Amino acid sequence: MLRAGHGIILIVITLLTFGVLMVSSAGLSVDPSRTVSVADVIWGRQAKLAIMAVIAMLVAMHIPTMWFYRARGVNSPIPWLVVGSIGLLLLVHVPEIGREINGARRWIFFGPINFQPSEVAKWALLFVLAWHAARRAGVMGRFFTGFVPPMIIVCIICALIGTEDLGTAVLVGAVSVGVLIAAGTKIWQVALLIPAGLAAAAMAIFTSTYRMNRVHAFFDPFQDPQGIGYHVLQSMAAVSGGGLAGRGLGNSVQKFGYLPEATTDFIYAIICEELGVAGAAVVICLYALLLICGLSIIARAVHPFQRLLGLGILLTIGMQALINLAVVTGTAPTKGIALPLLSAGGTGWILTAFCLGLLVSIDRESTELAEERIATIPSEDTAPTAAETSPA
Amino acid sequence: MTGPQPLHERQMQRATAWGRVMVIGMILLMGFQLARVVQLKISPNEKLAAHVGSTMSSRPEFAKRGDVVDRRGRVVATSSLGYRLFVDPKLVHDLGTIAAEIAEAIDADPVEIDREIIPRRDRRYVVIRHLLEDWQVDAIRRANIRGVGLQPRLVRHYPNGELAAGLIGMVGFEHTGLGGMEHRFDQQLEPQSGRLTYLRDARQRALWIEPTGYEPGRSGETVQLSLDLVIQEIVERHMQNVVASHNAGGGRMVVLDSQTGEVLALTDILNPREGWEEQTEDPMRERHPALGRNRCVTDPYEPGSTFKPFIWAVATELGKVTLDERLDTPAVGVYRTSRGRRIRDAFNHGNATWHDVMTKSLNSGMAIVAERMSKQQMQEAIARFGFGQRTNCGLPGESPGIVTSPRAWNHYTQTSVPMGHEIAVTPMQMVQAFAVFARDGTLPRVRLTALGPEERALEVTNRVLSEEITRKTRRAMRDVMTEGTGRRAQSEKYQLFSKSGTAQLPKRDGGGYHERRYVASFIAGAPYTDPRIVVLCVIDDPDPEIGYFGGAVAGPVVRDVIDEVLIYLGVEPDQPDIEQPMVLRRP
Repeated sequence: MLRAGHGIILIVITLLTFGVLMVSSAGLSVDPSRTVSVADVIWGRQAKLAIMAVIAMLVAMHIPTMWFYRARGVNSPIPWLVVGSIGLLLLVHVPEIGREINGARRWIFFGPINFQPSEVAKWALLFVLAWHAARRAGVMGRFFTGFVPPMIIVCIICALIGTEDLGTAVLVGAVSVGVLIAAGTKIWQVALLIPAGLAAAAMAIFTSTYRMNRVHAFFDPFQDPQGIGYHVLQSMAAVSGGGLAGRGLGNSVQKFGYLPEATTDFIYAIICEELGVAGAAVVICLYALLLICGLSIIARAVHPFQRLLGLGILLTIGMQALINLAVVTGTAPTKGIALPLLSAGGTGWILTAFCLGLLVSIDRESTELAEERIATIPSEDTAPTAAETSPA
Repeated sequence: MTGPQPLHERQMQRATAWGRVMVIGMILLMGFQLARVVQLKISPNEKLAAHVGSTMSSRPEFAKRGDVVDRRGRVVATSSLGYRLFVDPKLVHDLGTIAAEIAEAIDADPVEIDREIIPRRDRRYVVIRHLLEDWQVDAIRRANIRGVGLQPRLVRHYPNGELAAGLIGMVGFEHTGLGGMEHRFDQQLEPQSGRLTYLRDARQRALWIEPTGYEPGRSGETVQLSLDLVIQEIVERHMQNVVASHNAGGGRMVVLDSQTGEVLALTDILNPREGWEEQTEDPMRERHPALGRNRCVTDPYEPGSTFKPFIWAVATELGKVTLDERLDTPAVGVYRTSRGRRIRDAFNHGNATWHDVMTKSLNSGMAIVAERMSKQQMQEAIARFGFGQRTNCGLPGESPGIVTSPRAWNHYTQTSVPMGHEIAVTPMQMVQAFAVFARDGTLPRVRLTALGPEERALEVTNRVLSEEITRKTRRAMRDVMTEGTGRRAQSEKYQLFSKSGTAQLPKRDGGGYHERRYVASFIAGAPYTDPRIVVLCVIDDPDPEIGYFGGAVAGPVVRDVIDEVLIYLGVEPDQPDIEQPMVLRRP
């Protein structure tokens, strides 16, 4: 029988395939020395990354998720995830390892491997929070013992990410708060943090010229259409271009130098331009289906760790998609947030697919447990009759 | 795996409940984003399109302005593609060195270039040179200086310099006709520029062209003038000489193909002299020779005795007089009209025949016959030859001439007009009317464009005189050359039929005539046996100390021009002396 986990596998493969296609389309160039053939699309870098992501998902779906919860001492991955995330986030500031790209230090390079530590930390934190919430279920409603300890870790990681990537920090913070609320944290406890969070965000914005420009551009992109408003205006122009039906696959105009980051953060604008409302709706439906399947899985999960971890994964993917769509359509300030499984990316695709694989694993484990339970219920043939059990 | 504890059970229920809320919230917000996409597609912000700008580019495809050629296909005016050099100061890296860089490339003075750029540094388009030579274009392309551009433009060439400049005219900055034929035929000559519209990327590179994105250009039509450059050169050379030798204020000449009405050559010379009052002025011509007015159509003059053949012919046709009728012309003194007006002949000739009136150019004889005609007959005679009406040859600013209105027409007018006084005509009107005698009595339509064979066949002509009267008048004018005022213009090669005229120069304020200042003119057709051309020469205000009679001043020029033109056209001489020279010398 087709389960929600199977649905997730199909949706992930569909999104990745669609991503390979659209990234290839958005990356087309008029340079005659950079011709693109069908073989380039099928055997190109994005296709290989997609395959790696699928493999990661298939591997993850066989990992017993409760191992993350039950392992203790040095075998427990949770402390390592915390230490590793913070360490990696600090490594970006180490010369030769951390590298500045597009004005921000977000990447680290280990020989041929390069990735954004914030991507790792984003997912790692979910395990930490779910682990803490499940282990301390009894005190999650308390402020100092239930809420503050995980928030300290969240704040440290968000601060480290936020120095270079405020968008991801906001995403991580929002998802963390969501997970904690779902785990039992009181709303008022979160409300206490709002002024501090807003103050931190405001400080991050006001101390950075480019962030200020992005906020200005959000409120009035027409103020400087060739400067700070360029990104958002070109993105909206791409979305608007081609009419309801779109220009047709491969026929985007904005991708030819007008829209920056057409293959990454603004891939959805190219989808809208080329495939019209239908393409835009398909993408949103796929994410919605993904969320619904995920919700179905966590509703059946038998342990709070699994539910909270699954919810964290769903919130991360959903909110990331939502922020990206809002940026593309000009309803949120520009941020460097990619569209999950669609925007060109390496670690992003693999880690996202891996985490969704864990969700499939939860589904598998829940199903197996349910089947076990059904198997242990005595059938009518073997169950003693009333006559046999009751005294004469 | 063991079952959940109650604490965990509660936590799981809470997680599921919040998960539902959050997931539903996210799905709803995604739905909102889809709605936003639809809104951007259906009714995007009007400002968005304006600020983002078009991704379409269009490039003009220059089409050539049509050529102007003479009747034999020689190029009179043609266009080619040239380049204008401009600077966009906003794109220039260093305004301090740009002038030196450009100057080095095109071998120019850097200071001069600097003076062009620095005062206009806030503009986006500063022209450095309106037209570059080919090597300068290559040098600028090689130099590839940021902010320096080449703008293609059409350049008009006039290979014959100032030859017929006033007739041909010129084009202005926008490559449109400003005067002369360039203005007259602007619509035919004007090219239809093509346009290539294409989708471009952000670096201005063409992506693709829609099937409807290319509109090919259309070059302007070639206009073939009736003008013959060789004849024009003959005319201008002779006219320059005669104006200079007679220290005249100016001179005008028109050569007409009498059979077709095509103007073969036309010139108008002005010669400003020091110390002369009320000289003809043309400020536009001083700015450029091609911009001046063409006085052959704009400035009427009193034709004097050259007007006599028209009235002579009509009076003959009306039967008011016969050729051998002797008239009461005075042998000495003046003739008094019936109203007592005193008419003086240049040279008295008593009891002259009507034929003599023409050959000797007797004013008295013309006055006698004019009194036999009614005013209406005289007015109709003038009108039938086209006087008082524009020829509509196409040159700008054409004057209809000056003809006294019927209401103001009096006895004085009736006796003045037959002598070519109290009437003013343009040289173009004059050659048109005179061509009647060179044809079969029909009035041609003068034209400045060459006639094709089909157009000639379809040409509608207006009969003015009977063939017989035309022949008689032409014969009388042939005798002018042998017996009368045209003797000094007698050609050794061709028999001419002609009439000379000498009129006093009117004062500019209309208050009478200048003392001893004249307009000398001479009009002739040739060859007499089979007329091909009509030539009119008008010498404005010649120095009277040198000569002022039309026959003496303008006559020889007309003769020389006719001789050269007819030889050039391959017309056989028709002078009897030439045809049988050996017979004459035979003992």
